[in-house]
Amino acid sequence: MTFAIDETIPGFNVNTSADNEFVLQEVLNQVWPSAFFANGDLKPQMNTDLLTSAKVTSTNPETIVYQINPKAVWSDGTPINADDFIYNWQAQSGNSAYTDVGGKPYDDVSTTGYANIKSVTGSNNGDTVTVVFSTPFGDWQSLFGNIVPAHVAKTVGWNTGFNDYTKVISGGPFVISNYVKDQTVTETANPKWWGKKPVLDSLIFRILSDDSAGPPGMQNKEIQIFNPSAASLATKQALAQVPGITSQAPAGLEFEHMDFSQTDPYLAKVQVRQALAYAIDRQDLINRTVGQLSSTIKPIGDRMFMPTQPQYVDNGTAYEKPDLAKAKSLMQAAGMKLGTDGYFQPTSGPQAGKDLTFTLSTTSGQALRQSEEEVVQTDLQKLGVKVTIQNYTASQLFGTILPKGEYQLAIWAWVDTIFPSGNQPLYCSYTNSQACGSNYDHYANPQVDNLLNQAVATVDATQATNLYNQADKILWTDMVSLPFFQRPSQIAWVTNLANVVINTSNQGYTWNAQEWGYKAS
Amino acid sequence: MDDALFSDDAPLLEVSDLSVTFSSEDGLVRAVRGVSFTLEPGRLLSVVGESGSGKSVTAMALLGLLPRSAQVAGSAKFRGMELLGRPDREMMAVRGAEIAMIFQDPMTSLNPVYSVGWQLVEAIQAHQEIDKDAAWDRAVHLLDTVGIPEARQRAAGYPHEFSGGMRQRVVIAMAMANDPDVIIADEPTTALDVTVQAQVLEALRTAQEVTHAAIILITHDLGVVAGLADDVMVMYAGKAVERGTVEDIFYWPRMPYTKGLLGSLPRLDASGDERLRPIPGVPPSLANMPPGCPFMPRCPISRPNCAEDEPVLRPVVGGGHLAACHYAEEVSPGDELFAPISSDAEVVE
Amino acid sequence: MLPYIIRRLAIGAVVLVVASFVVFLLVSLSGDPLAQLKANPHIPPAVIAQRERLLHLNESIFARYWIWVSHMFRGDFGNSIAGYPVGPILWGKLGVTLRLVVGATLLSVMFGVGLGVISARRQYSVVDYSATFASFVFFSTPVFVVGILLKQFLAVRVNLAAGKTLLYTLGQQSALLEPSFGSRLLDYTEHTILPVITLTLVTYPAWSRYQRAEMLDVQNSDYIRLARAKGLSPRRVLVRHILRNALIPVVTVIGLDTAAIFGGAVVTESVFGWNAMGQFLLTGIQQIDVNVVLAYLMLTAGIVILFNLLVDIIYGYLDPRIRHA
Ligand SMILES: Nc1ncnc2c1ncn2[C@@H]1O[C@H](COP(=O)(O)OP(=O)(O)O)[C@@H](O)[C@H]1O
Ligand SMILES: [Mg+2]
Repeated sequence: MTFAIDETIPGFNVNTSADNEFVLQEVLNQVWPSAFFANGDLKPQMNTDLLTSAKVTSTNPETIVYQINPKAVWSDGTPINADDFIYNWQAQSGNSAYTDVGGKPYDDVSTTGYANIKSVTGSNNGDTVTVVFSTPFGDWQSLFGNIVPAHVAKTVGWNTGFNDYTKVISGGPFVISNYVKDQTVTETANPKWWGKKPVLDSLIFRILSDDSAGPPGMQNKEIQIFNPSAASLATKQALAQVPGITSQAPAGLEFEHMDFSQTDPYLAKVQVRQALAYAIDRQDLINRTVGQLSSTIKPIGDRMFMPTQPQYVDNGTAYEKPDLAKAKSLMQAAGMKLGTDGYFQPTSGPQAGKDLTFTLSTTSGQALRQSEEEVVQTDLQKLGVKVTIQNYTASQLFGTILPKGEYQLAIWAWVDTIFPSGNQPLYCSYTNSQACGSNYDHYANPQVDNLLNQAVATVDATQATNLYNQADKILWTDMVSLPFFQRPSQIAWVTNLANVVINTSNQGYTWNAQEWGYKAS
Repeated sequence: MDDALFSDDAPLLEVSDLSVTFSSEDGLVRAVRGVSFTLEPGRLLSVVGESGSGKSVTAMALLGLLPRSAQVAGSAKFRGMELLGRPDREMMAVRGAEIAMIFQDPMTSLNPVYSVGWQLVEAIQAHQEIDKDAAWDRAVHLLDTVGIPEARQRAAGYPHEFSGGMRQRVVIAMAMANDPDVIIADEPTTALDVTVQAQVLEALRTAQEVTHAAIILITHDLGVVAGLADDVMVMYAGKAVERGTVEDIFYWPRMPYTKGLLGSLPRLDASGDERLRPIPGVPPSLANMPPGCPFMPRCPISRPNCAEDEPVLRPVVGGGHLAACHYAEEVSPGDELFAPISSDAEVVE
Repeated sequence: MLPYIIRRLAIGAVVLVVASFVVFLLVSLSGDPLAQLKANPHIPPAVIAQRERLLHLNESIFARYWIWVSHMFRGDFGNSIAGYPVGPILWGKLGVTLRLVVGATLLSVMFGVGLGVISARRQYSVVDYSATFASFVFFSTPVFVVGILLKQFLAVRVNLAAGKTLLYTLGQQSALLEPSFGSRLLDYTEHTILPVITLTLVTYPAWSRYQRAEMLDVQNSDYIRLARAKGLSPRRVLVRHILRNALIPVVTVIGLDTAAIFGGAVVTESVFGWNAMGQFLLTGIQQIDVNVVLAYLMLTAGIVILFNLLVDIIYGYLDPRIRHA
């Protein structure tokens, strides 16, 4: 069974910023154990091979007790125990008291949650792990994913030690038995695996950066699962020609949206932002873009949870349909005068007496986003606002333009996980500059801060969901950003491969690969 | 070569009714139209005529060097062996060995990437079982014979290191390499400076002395012919129009064309007021030739019947040679048939 | 000869330095290699600061270039953004790319010269017209289209007919678990055939047209007529005279096309999912990985410079009229 992945693997420690790639998660799902993983329903699910239980035993201070399956061992025979939990916490705690080999600071892609932990202690011969938090963390199930073997990491190093695949010993059903750099990763059954034996003998991951090579590769039986880097009509059509495969375009956890930079004096006014939002026909925008890939995609009404997630609530009902009359009156309320040429003109500020013009930016060279820009441009022209387009390369946009707030309108995507706490830095007041560094729009609302602070600290899932959605309602009222749609992903697999379950989270499709197998034909 | 094919009593080279036709976009080009001549051992036959009269095509036809598109008819027997229509494989043995050829432009006749010695050795070894060193010695000797100074050193030189005259000597040496019975030299001096022409002709004469070969010397320059040739054949529009010994042709040309050629020749004995008398007009196109004498449009003595009947090469009554003119008997040595160029007019070539 | 070679190499070195500086500027100024990290709200600022220090991003661009140059002089290509030494990766990838480039060059020479010769020998024949037609078709078809068509129409059919995969369309090798030398070699071959054919198909047409034109030119030259008049066999005339002379300019063109072949290889590799020099360059550009892009540049430019020099030397050897002092 060969799975095509679209990106090269820098090194194997997915927890570092240097190695963190989605495809690596897919490679490691069957190798490094996680306490919880995102299942096909986009909910966290306990890893019953690794743990016999994981319970919140106290909320003040928040305390979690994990019971490790006593049979759990690394593929070198070392037991998986509390030492591994302790090490993984320390390495990702962001606490400079803990260092990697050679006294180097740990390279982490995120310290979220781990930074809130006060202590991790082992008992019961290391099979019981007790985690005590100093500040409560609602998304505790996101912790202890991709557990790195502590005894190996302590000698080879967390940061770069796992660049060598032979150091990546396994605590899962498969073990990496061969890696040809930038070509293939071969995983075979882990002889020390204590759980249910996987059906397939081996999983091969083939690195394939050119999406157009996928469909002929499937036709030629060189790959059995293909997950293109970007969903496209061309790939959809090419896949349609390949016999014996199932091809789908499920909506992903990644959503396109347009943001308003509040450093701009006009966009700082909520009426202007609302007016722009009312003027844009999002369904039309979808029809002209991703609608061709998937007919189920609808405008999004929630920034915290995607329509495919169980926690989704449509908080944006007010914006369900475009309303040009309302938009125009909002413009007037914001102090704009409709000029004789049909364009609004501000009465004060830098554009006073001129046709109101905004610059719209996105990543250059992407057909999808250019189409989105065109729709926005046309819709806003109908409102009476001129839009000029100025696009940047991804690295310019995300490296400079957005962080420095050097834009007016911008379109890009946020990638959600199943854990909503990741939303906090995007919407908490920018004045808390460090923690809210991704609030590029320079939005600030203490009410939202409050709700998000509570939400991330709430252990009870239902309660937390509620809080996140309350915050989002305010974001809609304040019209911080206009969510467009979930970007569809694409997946194709040979139909006689059984048990492939769509999982659009960042866990990836291999989340249940130990259950895959060929149907008897 | 199978000796049985040769006959000792057959003439050295006997060409009869040779004709060559090319197909081109304008139709058939009849480049050679029934040429006949015989070459005796040791003699020098000069073929003269304006450019385009079919001299080179005649020569190439003999060696089978014409492109595939050429249709060749008639007969050319070397020592009784038919050359025309013989496959390339068999002609290989004749070329260079029995009949050697020298071409017009020495600047481009040698392969620029091989040393002249190498090219000579190649020519020698093409026909002689001889080892490389011996062949090289022979090459040096040949170069020496044709008057290349310091032949041993120069043999290792490349063509571009030689002057035009020197290169033509190399080609002559190459022609001598296998002691051929016939050497065809196609305008060997035309491309050369007047000063070198004599030296190259001298080398050719040496070649003849050494090999005892009969020579066909093709030229459009009657001046070259005078001192060298035994026999002369004049060609016009693909036909031989006059043939005879050099004396006959020079002292009493019977074809107005020949007379014209002679008149366009600067004469060494010319007194001050004698000027060149070129033939006006140009030769006819060889494609779709009209009937009649092809020279008629340019001929000062033509009469109406010349436009209908093409004259054949025939013995001239009262003369020792052949001419193709209805009125050959009326041409006398003294008359000037063509007008001199006026002193203020420019020569148009 | 030696002074000439030294002079040429010195000029080549200067070109490399200038080119490296320009490319360094272009790549460095094209964006922030850590932009993606910075865009990720979860990554602690300390981690980003640490990465910046490692990549010397906190220093001026000239200082960074100087660091690169001084390492380069010690034969060290520096580290990639992900922290790997670039040198060993580069050599590994070069080995893979050479499988494609050398294979395609050899085949293209065979096809280009061979078809050129046949076309010229049989000018205006059916063979000549077909070869001309094919050359123009392939010449004007982009590499990736050729690749895709070959996959669709050759690989799938051949494999279907054979009942097993003989022609692979993805990657430079299979994940063989316990390869013997023989099975490894076979596997390489099965993966290399289609890419090599692809690159050959876009490379040979120009050469064959060139070869044909040169052949016709030489074929009608005076010295070939003399060679035939000497009584040489048609074969000898063809090989030792026509071909020998016609090859001189063709060799030059082939040598000068090295850069183009490497360029074509980048696309071919991408079409066939090879992760060799091409992918190395493309990801280097994407990720604004200066050291990676420069390593590619140094290597390919170095190869091109060497080939140009080699061509000049061979030219001098093939054509005595050209001699280098
Ligand atoms: N390969 C060829 N194809 C067509 N016509 C040719 C070819 N070779 C020679 N001719 C024609 O044959 C005629 C005689 O040419 P040639 O024998 O070279 O004249 P010359 O007497 O100057 O040597 C010319 O009109 C020339 O154009
Ligand atoms: Mg001629």
